[in-house]
Amino acid sequence: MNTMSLSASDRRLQTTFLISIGLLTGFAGLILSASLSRIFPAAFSPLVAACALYYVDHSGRRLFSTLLANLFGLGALAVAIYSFTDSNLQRLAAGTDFLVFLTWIVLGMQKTPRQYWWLAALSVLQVTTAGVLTASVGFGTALFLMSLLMIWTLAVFSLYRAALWHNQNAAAIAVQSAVRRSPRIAGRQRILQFLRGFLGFPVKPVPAAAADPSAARVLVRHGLDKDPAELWTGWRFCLSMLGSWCISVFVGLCVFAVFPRIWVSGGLGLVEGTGGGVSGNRQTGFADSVQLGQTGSLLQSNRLAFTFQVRSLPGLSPEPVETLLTSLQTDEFRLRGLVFAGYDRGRWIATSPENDVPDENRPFPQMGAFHEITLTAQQAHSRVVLAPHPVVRVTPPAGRSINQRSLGNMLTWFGPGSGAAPSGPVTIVVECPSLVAQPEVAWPFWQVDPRMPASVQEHTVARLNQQARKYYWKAGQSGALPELFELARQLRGTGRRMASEAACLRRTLEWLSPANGFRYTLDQPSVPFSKDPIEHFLFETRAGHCEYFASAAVLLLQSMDIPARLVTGYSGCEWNPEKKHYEVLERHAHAWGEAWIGGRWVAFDPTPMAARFDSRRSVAGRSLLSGFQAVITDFWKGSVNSMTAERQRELVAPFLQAARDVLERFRRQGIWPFIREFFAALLAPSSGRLTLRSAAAWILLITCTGLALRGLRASAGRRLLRGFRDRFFTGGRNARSVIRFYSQFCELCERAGLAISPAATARENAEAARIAFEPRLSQAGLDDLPGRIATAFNRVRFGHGLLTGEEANTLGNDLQRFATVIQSSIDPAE
Amino acid sequence: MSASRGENRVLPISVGAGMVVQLLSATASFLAAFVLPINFPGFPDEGRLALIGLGVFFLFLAAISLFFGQRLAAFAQRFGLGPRVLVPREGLICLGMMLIIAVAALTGGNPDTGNMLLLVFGLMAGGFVLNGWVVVAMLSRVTVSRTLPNSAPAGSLFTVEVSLTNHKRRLSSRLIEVRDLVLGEGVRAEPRVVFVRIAPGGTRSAGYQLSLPRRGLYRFGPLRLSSRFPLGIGERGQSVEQSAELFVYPAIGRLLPAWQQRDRCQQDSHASSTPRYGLMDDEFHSIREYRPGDNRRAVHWRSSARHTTLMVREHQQNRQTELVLLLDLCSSAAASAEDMETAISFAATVCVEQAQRSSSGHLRLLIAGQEFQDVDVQGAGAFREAALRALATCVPVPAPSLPELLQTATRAPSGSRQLILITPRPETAREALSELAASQQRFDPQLVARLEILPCLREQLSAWFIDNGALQNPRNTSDDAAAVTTVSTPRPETAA
Repeated sequence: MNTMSLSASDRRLQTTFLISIGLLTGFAGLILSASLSRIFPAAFSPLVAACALYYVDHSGRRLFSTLLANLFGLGALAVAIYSFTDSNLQRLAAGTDFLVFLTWIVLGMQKTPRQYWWLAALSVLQVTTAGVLTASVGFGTALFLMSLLMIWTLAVFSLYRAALWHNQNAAAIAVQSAVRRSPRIAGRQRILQFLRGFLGFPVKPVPAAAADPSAARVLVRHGLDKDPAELWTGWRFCLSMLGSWCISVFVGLCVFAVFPRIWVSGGLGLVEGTGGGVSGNRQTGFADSVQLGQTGSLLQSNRLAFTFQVRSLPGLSPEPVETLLTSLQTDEFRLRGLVFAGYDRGRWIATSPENDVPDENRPFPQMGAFHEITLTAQQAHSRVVLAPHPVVRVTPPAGRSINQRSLGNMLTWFGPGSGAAPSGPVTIVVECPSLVAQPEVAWPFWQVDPRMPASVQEHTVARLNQQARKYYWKAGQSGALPELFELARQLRGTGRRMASEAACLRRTLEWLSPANGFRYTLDQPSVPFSKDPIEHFLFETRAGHCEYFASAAVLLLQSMDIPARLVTGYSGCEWNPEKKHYEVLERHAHAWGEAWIGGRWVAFDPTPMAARFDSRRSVAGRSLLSGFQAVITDFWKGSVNSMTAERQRELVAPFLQAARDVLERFRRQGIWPFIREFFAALLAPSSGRLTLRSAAAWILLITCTGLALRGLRASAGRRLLRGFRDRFFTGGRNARSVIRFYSQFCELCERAGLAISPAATARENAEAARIAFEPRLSQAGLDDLPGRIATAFNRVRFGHGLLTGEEANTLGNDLQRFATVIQSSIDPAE
Repeated sequence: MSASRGENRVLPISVGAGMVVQLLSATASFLAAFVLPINFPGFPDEGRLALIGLGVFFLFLAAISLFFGQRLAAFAQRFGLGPRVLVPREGLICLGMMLIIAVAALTGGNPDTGNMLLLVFGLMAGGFVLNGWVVVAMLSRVTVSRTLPNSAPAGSLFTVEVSLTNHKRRLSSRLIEVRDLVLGEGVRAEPRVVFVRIAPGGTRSAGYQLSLPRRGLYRFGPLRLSSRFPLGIGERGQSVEQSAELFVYPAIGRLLPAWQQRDRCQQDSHASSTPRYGLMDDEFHSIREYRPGDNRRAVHWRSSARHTTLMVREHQQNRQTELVLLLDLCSSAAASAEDMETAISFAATVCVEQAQRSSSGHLRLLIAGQEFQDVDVQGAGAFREAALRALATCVPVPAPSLPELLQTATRAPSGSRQLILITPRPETAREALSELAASQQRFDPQLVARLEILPCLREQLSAWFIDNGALQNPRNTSDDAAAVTTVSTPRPETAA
């Protein structure tokens, strides 16, 4: 493109556009790189875009000719096809690399508007592919920024095309063919031109006169109007683009929210195991399959997860949570959730051992309880019931039942709905024992009951050992995690130096301690594509949150032939003095481990406690920016990431219910009482202040009225308003009455033989009537009636004012009497 | 530009926004028929069938819009129905990408991935909806008008002014393209004007320049307003019936000194000489606005600068020039179409020159073509306009009535009148004149002497004048231009 012919203003627009398109492609590359956790090639896109901006677009050089670009494109395609034969992830990576290489090739070409469109489309495709690979909040933020950048770039592109078009037309007079070529010739020539362009030969324009020598030639110089004092991209343009982006995002989120979720099971098989695939409820991060990092995203949120109150039994008097903690012999209030045993490339999977063992439902022990906890979950979890541990009794909501599973000691929903969680907030009542007062209570939960006969104990221990090794010991990890397996071997020792199981646990916890360089952080680590996240944590970053520490410890113990399992839940609570209850927030989410040592399950927590508390405090005392980040995180998890058909139904249900209620009331009451009641409710908000609901109703009402009025044409609107005024305002009604009185008066006079001239004024007609009917009017005492009617008529007609209701009534009565007098004069017999 | 524009289409289909909406509605209906029974087990079968029927109905409408959209739109425009929203090629690509993303989201088998892809889909859909809304808002309450010149000579650039008014109170209109349609005999052009921004309540004017190659009557309009702002993935078009007509006169050339010399000789032999003043041997009369065809040497620069438009000195001639110009438009093998056009252009040039030089003389133009036209108007200015209009629309035919032409010319008293016949068949003309002289008893024998016959050949006519249109047209080859200027001057033939 020749930049020499552009004016300064146009050149500024060109620079703006080129920077915008460079930012767009570069940003798309960065998003892709972050989602792939790989630098090459996507992360180099900004660099390539900057080089292309300088060398190709600004300096007018050409890195690739069309032929070379096409050959490079074919080469990139060949590489992608070759890599496509590998695993799923490699296939996806090959596809993304192909997109990146195509972007680079297009960046290196001499560009026309078509190439710029290609760049925009390739950027969108890169971001789409990134969406397959990640589902994090960061990606969401980047997506919205990308949307803003895209709208800005395309809008500037529209302006730039106009400027370019004008400059091209100013340089040479366009010649238009007067005779249209036949479609067949046009199609053939187009194919030939495409082939010439593909091979890099210059595309010759088809001369118009070649098709028809007799064709007349019209010379056209197109026009462009632009205020020279105004910038192409002035502040008005920037503001309008910002507004456009807001509208676009709003509409986009609406489309996202209402789009039907019909997940076709099985899928295309392209993206297995790549994303954060969680079936069920992802919002709380407690589902049958959890990706490493999900709990970390929960830890950054201040969202309310549970509320609870503690009462002592049997008196049911409120007591502090510390009493309960003393009874349960723990430092923190813990809600125990899911138990995981299977691990595969950064994903913990509840292999559901309970489902494999059908007779493992364990009845609650028949013993006394010391504490009653009323626990309300803001949203029920998919299968598991999070509750303190141990419990001796659970009272579920009406119509539901809760079972305790023996192997994982989990509480699960049971009964109608096949274990599906109820929707909305759920309140359960849990009764807990005191481990101090009842040491035997631990037996059913943590170890074999020592009161049982020895043979039974042996049998039970053997059975539990077998189960633990079957479900919580994964012998095949040496191949998947070779470095971790080697570390486990070193920690346990060999031969005579082989440590006991308790020593193995101690060594593992020591190795994961801050003294060994491990530190607690909520930052999501960037893991290379080929690396396992836990090995990356253990041997490279040594930084992570509770999920990483607990996962590493569990996997190390499993690699030492010790059955171990990961437990997720919540740890910690806060007292809310206003509402008088305890609150468990999302940032209290936690993960720890349990190991089968000495015939019993031993809970352990490898996460550095002090660092965890510091982090939690920092999350609690956020800055404004961090608060905003928390809001975004909550929104992302609550409204985007966990959007399912059920969630959609939940969103729509209140509106549907409200509509049903309104219709039902409308049907029952009729339209006018319904509207009266509606307005009465609207105008009298409860508690003397404008509630959110009434404000929303008012906004809705005003909007609907405005739209309705806008829809009507002006004349129709005026007619409607006039009719409304006449119908409902007494002034208008009186005015109409006076006009009617005058016409009745004229009719009566004419019937009595007095000719009323339309050319005469009302006052002249009234005077004529007074003279004509003077005797009769005097008899009736209505001498001044014609004059009053004329005065009232003139008053209304010439807009001096309206009659009051009383005046109008008096006038009506007088006219009635006048009619009687006139009627009697017409027919004296009466 | 647009995939649905007629000129570039290979397939006879039209992808409008209506078609896209109908297609999406059909898809939504089918999808709802599939989804609702799954999500709501109590959903009645009748409802499902109704949804399927609705989908089929929308699909049918979409097919009709696809294949007959343009005809329907033209039909609707004839009845003054609303504007049409188009989806350009970029928009179609965007829609295709959205469709692929939606399908990938639903078939990915992974709700998380699906939600991410659906979010991308939603944001793209948001852009699409935004673009649709903005283009509708851009063109609402916008009026357009066009100002044409009264007339224009063929082959020279003239400006057509287009004014656009934005009646909106708050929203400015951006990037509005106004496309005009110019139709003439064998000519079709679509000049465009782009308005970058029109402030609320403001009016902007811009012009396009046009050079029409042929004389004749041209129709302008309708005007088509369109906008793709801001994203360029949706276009709304609106046709405004602003039809107008423009007479494109024959190209006015320049008479060479040879012709003026011949003219003086003729006048010396037939009329008494009069005093000569001023620029063109005439008295100064007044200063008026420039009209196409005026002598450029008559431009009064000082007045032009004062009035910011070209002003020319008008002179009054004292001589009583009387001229009857006869034009025989016989499209025979002897004269090509170009020759005929040159003859018409020459006739126009002579009429303009004569009208300019003689304000009170009697001028007359007789044309024998498809229609027999007799332009005999009092007043030089009026004659000039009438003659040019007649010359703009005259059409050569194989055998126009030459005797009728001569008979009409000789019917009036001749006096000192000078007659010029431009014809491609001089021999036939002479024979016809002889026959006319023999058949008419009161035939003026001086008339034969005063009738000058000019052969209607380009090479011969170019000895008398320079075809301005040929010089101004940059597409003419240099050989042609040389041919125009280097032909030697022939002697005029006279009937005597």
